[in-house]
Amino acid sequence: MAKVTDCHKTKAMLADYAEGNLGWLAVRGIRAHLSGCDACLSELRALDATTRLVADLGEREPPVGLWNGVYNRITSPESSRDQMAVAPRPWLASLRVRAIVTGLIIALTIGGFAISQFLTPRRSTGPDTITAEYIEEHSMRARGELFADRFTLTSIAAIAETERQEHGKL
Amino acid sequence: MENSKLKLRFYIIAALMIALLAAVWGQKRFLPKTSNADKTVFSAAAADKRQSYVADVRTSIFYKGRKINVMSKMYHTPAAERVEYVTGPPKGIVVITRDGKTYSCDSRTKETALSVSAQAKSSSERLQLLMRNHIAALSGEAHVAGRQCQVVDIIPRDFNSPSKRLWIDKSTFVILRIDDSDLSGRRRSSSEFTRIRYVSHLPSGLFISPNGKCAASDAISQPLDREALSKRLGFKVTPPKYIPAGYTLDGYTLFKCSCKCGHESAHIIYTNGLNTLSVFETKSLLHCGAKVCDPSMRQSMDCRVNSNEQGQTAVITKGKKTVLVIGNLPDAELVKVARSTP
Repeated sequence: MAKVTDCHKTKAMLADYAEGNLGWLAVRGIRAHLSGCDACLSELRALDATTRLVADLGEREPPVGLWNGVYNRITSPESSRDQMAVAPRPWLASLRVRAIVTGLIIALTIGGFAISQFLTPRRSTGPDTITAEYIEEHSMRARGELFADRFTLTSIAAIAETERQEHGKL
Repeated sequence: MENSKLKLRFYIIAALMIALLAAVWGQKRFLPKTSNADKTVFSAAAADKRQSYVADVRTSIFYKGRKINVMSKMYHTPAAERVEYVTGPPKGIVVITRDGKTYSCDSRTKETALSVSAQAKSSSERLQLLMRNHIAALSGEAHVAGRQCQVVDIIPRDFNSPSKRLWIDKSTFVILRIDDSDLSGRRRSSSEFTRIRYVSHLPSGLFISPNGKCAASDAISQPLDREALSKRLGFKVTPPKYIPAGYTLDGYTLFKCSCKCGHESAHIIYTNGLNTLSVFETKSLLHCGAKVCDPSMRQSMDCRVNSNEQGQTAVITKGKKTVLVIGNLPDAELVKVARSTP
């Protein structure tokens, strides 16, 4: 059972861990904690998924002539008139921008969470009948390792086969 | 003058002694050393190629929260091995290994599953890999099956792998007990010889037919190179771009579903000297094992992880290809391997 204090420390360092910004000692500590803490592992997966999602969007070049267009609008006489027209109510524009930004942040947060939930691998401990034949084959192959416990591996293969057959009867 | 000569001699001798001490210290500190534990492990790895014996074996497995007990009888010679499972889930199964082939006869189905070894590495290469990724440590002495044993722990240098404890017969170096621990150090299985009798030879008939009741069968798995696998399966078989530290490729095989429905997969095998990591690539999820539709598998999730005391499985679907990764690794590592497969 992982300690709550360890979880706090680990979660605080997860972003740096995922980016590879930590020293080997800290990495070792976090890995040791992750191997026994499902909560922190889920958090890391969610973080990974979000990072991957953002990375998948890629970098986009602005359209050709965008900068010139913006510059011309700023320096044109019409622009000065617009500024004059807006000037009496600067608080209203500011409020609108803030509302849009806040709305975007909320939408991105909710969207990001939903996508991370979708991308996070689901964990199961029940009978895995779909992969049983592969577990069986893996166990039989693993018998060839130098100090393999062949008795256990054969038993695991037999259990996987039995689970698959029992599931097939349902 | 005489005095300064004496002083010079004294300094030279002192400098030589310091250099000698530094060399001894440096050798101890930096040169790879072969400990007694390493020697015992090397001898144990070769023992089965020298000894013939008959043994009764008791196995305890922790699986999905329960303890499963299995009893078996083993006949071993340097060239072949026969194991008859007497109780537990594999009861009635006879496994014969010889000439790089494993015949597994199940008296319930009356069929033999034949598996051909695809190991690309020799025993000595595997031993070198094992010692590169693990540390052997002596952990005392004990009696197993009435024989004096040296207890040796094989501990991974990287925390990401399970560890093993071996009880090695002090006079013959045959392994009389193996305890496997999971990633967190908890014992997940134990196989112990309850009785062993060393013999000079065993009848060769023991290793020919599993039990005379099983029908012969085509090999369910056989070595095949990557190009041949891709051609046969109709998609490009590609190894994962990410493999956990310490693991190296050990071969490719074609794996045919044992239920004879014709479904085939590519099996890419990796080893770290002690543990196997399997990467299966198959055309789609709907193989014969999935005739009974598992609703949880049909939701096109990006990745699905299944784990228990004996190992973890990660399944990922990419276009027309499904990738399954099986091994004793943290979930995050398995998922990383699965996702890195092109």
